[in-house]
Amino acid sequence: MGSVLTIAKKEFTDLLNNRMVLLVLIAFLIYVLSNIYTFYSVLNGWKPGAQPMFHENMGIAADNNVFFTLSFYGTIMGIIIGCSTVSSERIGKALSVLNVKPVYRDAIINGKVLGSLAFLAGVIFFYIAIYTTGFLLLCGNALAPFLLDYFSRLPFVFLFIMVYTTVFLSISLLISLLIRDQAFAMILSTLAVYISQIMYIDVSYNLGNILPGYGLDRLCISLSPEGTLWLQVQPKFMNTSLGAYDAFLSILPEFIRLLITIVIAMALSYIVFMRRDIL
Amino acid sequence: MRMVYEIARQEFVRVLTYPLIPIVFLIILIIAYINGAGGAHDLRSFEEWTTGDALLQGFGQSYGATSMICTIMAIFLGATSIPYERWNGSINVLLTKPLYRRDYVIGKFMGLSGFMLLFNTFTLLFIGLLMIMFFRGPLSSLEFIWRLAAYIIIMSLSCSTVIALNMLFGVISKDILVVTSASMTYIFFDWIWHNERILGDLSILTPMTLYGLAIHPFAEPFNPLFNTTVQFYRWFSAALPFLAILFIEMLLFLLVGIYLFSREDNV
Repeated sequence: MGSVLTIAKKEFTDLLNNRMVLLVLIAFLIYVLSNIYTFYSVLNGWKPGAQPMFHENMGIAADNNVFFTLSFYGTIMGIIIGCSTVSSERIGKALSVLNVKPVYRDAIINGKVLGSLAFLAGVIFFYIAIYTTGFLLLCGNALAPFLLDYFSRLPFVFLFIMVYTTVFLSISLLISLLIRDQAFAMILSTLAVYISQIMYIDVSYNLGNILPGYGLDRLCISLSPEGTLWLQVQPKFMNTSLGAYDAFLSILPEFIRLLITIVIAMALSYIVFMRRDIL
Repeated sequence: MRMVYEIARQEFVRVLTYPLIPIVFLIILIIAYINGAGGAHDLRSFEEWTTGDALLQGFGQSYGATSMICTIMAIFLGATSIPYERWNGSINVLLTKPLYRRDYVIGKFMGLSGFMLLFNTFTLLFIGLLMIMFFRGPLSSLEFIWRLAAYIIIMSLSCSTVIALNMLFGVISKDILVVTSASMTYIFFDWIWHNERILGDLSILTPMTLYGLAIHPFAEPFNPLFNTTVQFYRWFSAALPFLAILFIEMLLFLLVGIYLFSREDNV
């Protein structure tokens, strides 16, 4: 257990000092800040005709902004952390050095996964803190009557974002372990996002036309994390007539499906890592 | 000029063996088949109320998926082109030859752009052929060829612009992973995030927005490039300013890339 924690701590520090990760996280931070400002502009009526989604409850409208931005648009966090977990070690040959030390292989991968998940949680927490501060500073008056709604849903929003981005983290981790060329692994991880997008837009619609009545369109949406998020989770999770806990219970099937995806991708990563002689 | 041609030819051949190509090729085949077979149903309904050629509207159905995958491929080919040669050391050998650094960058750009032109032509022809197979032939072959050729040229110009931009990333940083992550961030910025929230009205200048505006320079009538009720000339006149800006951007990125690469003392 001690070695797992040591490796996890090192992984966390490595990710924090990784230039690639910082580049992506700063770019995403700019996007998050622009989103907060857009929300503020819409509330002030500076964008004629625009209204925030779920505007009947401003607390939930704000939650929805956090939830959708950090999950749907935040897949990039999962990809870069998943890829960097393996690539930096491979390039620096640290993984090969670690493997010849008296440390179990499963301790190495457990430590690395634990460290990267802790880092991801820290990053999501940081962005949520930025969001909350921004909302309170800029939209405090509009949000004040709904603060309880906002804060009560926030832990569940955090949990969902964590699971959603971990899906992409685990897929990227698996690809990075399977492919030696780390630049190519990152390219393939980006393609995974593209495939997830076309699955619920083009593929589901056209397959429904080709073979109507078989439910293939719904299957494609369910297999796509982005389709699941947009078409299945968001309308239920942000339902303004439900309380925070009930809203979370209503998305439990989709939440478990995403967890199963993570378990499968992580299990495959374990198998690949344990069976490879040379990394 | 001969050296530029040689570098371009070498780059073209290198790209052909790059493992990303068969993967993207397979995705294109799936999109083309699904769009052809699944979209035919919608085109039949569309034909009942349109006076134009419904077949061409089929390109509009797969517009997003096709454009995005071709652009993603162009981005990564452009980004990794110079860093890969730095990584495997072949650039050191090349630059000891009587070769101008600017010819090296131009050659690489020409090779990649040539490849993307060929790839886009194949992609759009294949999508068109499958639509013809599942739906019907064009009402006017000449109109079909004109508009398809325009679509291929615009998509290739857009791909060349992102190649030039991402080659610039490859010139600026010597670390291939940093370059790849910068390119990935660019894809999210221009294709997935709402970049108008960050750039405001300046978002019109990003390659993806310019590409979209060149295809759809006005909202009504819908899909002007693929809508035969809109005269080709009318669409072209409206799209020309956006195409001109896209071309200028491409030149600008390329010139900056050449300038920075030529100033480097080492590789």
